Amino acid sequence: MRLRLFLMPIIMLNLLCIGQVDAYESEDVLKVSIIAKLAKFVSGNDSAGVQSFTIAILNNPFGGLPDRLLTGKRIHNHPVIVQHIDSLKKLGDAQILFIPRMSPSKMQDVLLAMNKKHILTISDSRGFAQLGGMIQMYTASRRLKLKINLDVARQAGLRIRSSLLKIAEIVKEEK
Amino acid sequence: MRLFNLFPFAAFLLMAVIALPLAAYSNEDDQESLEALLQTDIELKAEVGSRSGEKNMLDANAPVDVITAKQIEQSGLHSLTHVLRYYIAGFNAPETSVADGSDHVRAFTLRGMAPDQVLVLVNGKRLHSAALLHVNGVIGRGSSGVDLDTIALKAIERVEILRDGAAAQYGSDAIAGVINIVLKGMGQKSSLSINSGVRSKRDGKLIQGEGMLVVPLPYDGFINATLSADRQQQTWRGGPDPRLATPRIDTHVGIPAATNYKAVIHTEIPLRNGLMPYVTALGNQRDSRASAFYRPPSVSNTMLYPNGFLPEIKAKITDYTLMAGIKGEWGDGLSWELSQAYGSNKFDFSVNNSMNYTLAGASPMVFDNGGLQFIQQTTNLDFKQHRSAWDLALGAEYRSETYQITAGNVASYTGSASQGFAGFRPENAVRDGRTTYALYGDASYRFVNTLSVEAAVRSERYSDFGMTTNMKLAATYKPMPTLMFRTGFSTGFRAPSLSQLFYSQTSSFVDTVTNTLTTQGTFRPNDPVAIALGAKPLNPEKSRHASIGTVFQPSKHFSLMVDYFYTLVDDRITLSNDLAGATVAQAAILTANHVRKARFFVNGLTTTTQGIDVRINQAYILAHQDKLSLGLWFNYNRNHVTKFKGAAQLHPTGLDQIDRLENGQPKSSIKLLTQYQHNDWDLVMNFNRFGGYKQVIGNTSYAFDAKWTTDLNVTYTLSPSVRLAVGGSNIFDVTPNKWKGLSGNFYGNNGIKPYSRYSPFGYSGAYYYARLMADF
Repeated sequence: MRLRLFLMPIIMLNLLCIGQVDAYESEDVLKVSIIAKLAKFVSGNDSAGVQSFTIAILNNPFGGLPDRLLTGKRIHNHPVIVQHIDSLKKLGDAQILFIPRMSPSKMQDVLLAMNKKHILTISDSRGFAQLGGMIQMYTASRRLKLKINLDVARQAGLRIRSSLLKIAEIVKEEK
Repeated sequence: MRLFNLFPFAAFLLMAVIALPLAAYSNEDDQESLEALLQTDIELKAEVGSRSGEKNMLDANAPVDVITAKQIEQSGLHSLTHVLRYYIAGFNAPETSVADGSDHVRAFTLRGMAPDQVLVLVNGKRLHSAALLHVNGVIGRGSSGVDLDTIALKAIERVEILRDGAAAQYGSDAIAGVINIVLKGMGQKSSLSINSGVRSKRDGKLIQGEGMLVVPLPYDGFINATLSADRQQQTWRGGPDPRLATPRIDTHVGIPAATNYKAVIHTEIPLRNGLMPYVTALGNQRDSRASAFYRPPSVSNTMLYPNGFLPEIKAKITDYTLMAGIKGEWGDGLSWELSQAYGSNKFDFSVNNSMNYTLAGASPMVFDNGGLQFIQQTTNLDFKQHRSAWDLALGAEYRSETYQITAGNVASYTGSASQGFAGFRPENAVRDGRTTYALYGDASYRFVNTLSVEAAVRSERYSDFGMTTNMKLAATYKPMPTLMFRTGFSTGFRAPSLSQLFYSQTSSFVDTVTNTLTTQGTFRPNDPVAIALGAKPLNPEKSRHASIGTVFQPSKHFSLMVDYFYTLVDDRITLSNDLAGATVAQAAILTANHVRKARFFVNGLTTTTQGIDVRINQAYILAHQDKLSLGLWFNYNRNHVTKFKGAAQLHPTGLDQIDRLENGQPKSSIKLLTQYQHNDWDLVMNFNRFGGYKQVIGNTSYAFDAKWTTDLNVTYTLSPSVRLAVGGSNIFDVTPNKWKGLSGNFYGNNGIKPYSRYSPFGYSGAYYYARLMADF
């Protein structure tokens, strides 16, 4: 009887609950969504005269998600174009480059090639920000978190809004 | 099916169905702010069960449960065994009492099987088992399981529980399932917490402090150092002693008193060249105190104890593990790892407030009764290759194991031995071991997006019994994104534990009839006495598993998992009954060897375990971003002894042995988990149904009723870094029913032990606590 008395309010609450439901999200969906969100906090990577906002994804690890979630969206008033590339040589006029997880030595080669280009570099590779990348996503306690290497972004002429810096950890490059 | 008439179960199912239409998928990402995305929980992932890396637990080809650090914190509990019993349907960990060493190391089981049929990993590496062999009539009798309470909870990121046979992947012991304890890694905050609680009868007080210091290292390396200390007082739930003229409670029946110190250091040091060395060290020092039955005054003891005495059995448990390794990548998705683990569990017995009757007035009152130690060293070399459609893993393992018994002091074993617990004799002392070499491979392949298959094989050579090869085949089929079917078949084994091979505890005394020195007790299977009585070299237990299930996930907030499982274990190892000359031939052997009674391990049984796991999860975002999460976990398992090979060595009817395996543990278990989050408030209320069980005393099986218990936790966030929680386990102070129709001095509704030691939720009643937590 006591148990029923306790269960009833929960069951009633269950019946009455309304609105959007959202228990958890796939890690890849979150990452792709965050890539697009990050663009809105960064300026200096949108070349004059460009009619679209290109997000380049190197060796796409997300399957069809980027096309599904990003195509048709607008960033800085430009339509988003998702560009899948398997080599930096194919990188066109992108505003964002997502770099998948890779070994530090390969990552250093990629970052060297990107040095001082006005392109926001984002990765979920461990140590990315301290290796010279700009924004790193990492997972801790079931949440995605951000690390930003502000020095590298500034060297590339990018400006990051303070509201983003407040919710991220600022790191320096390890020499 | 009385079970399904239960109101809460039916109500929950009904609500889940009603709520389903509300759960239409909605991709609202575009309207969510970056902050909201960063506050969104990521899908639960688990690594256990496949060597191809982490994957969503709902995509696994066998049922996997994940308990997160947050859930551990919300339980308000201080030991991992308690936490898993709190959350996992089908996880059983009785709180036994007056059972010698078993009071101090909690045996746990999955699916009603044996403690040593569950493999435990830390960060994917095999953890050593406890040295203690449960020899009394407890759940898990005749086995040595892992002591889960050696690990500081604050160091744990999540616990993954694979409910499937996986010996083809991990080797021996992975028959009922695998528990993988994943330690907190990068990106953590330093934290402190203090926890204090008390039982409803104002005993069993607990105070615990835990702290984790996080030191970030370059390239997302870290040192996470965790310290935990707790002091637990005893609970007293025994009945008045009917042997006394004025009955009073004189025997400790309940939770032992214990002082625990735990430390975990986990560090990863990524190097710029891509290599990553890591070190993990775990340590636990536990001083635990329980008792034997009270000894009333008698001619044997009044010279030292005029008012009788309560022998106090003390355990000093020292457990540590050191794991070190290095990981690297060779490009093109090929990664490798070389690791070495060393683990030791040492259990030293002593008895206080006791005496040796033979020594009469000259007897000491404190005894060193000797000890047990188990040491395990494991070396692994692993390679993994990841491709878009397939994963391949290959590896090799070398493992050495050592088991040791050290004798107690002479007074602890000579003559009548120390009362309460006899010391180990010099002839019991042993140091022996074995080595194993294993090669294993695991491949998975995804055919388009709908069909995935996995095959694993592991071949292993043991220095004692030779070669064993096991395999696993599993597949998942997703006819649509919201629905998945999964099935698996595997073979497995469990090598006889070293404690089963080398444990012996005997006592010797002068038989006044024959005037000869006579022995009785537990003998090694290779002891001449055991061999004469029919003992054979122990073979590994061999198992076969099959499972089939489905996962229905119409949206990201609702999931339903239903899995059927079947496990057959042949040559199951069990401890024989005491052989005391029931037949003429047996009596002749005993007489010839000057043995009064003997017991030893035999490959005596074939058992089947089958049942069903059901798990439903759903969550809602309500008005004002309030969040309600509901979960229903149900486990039904039926263990059946199909062959009883050891009639010569086991009980003539086998009732005690068989009944413990078939009915000693609940066949069903239900967990109704609810969590409600409102602003800074977080409310957790869980309802648990522990199914009925039976215990044999004499030749009669006594039944105990199923019971519901309720747990509550309320957490208030005082500031972004400080939280306060109050709550309780079993808050309505439910106790198991007492023995029905059994009365007696020791076991009985009016006896010293009014409750069964098999009770799956103990008999110490409600526990209330407060907890303060801070992050830095």
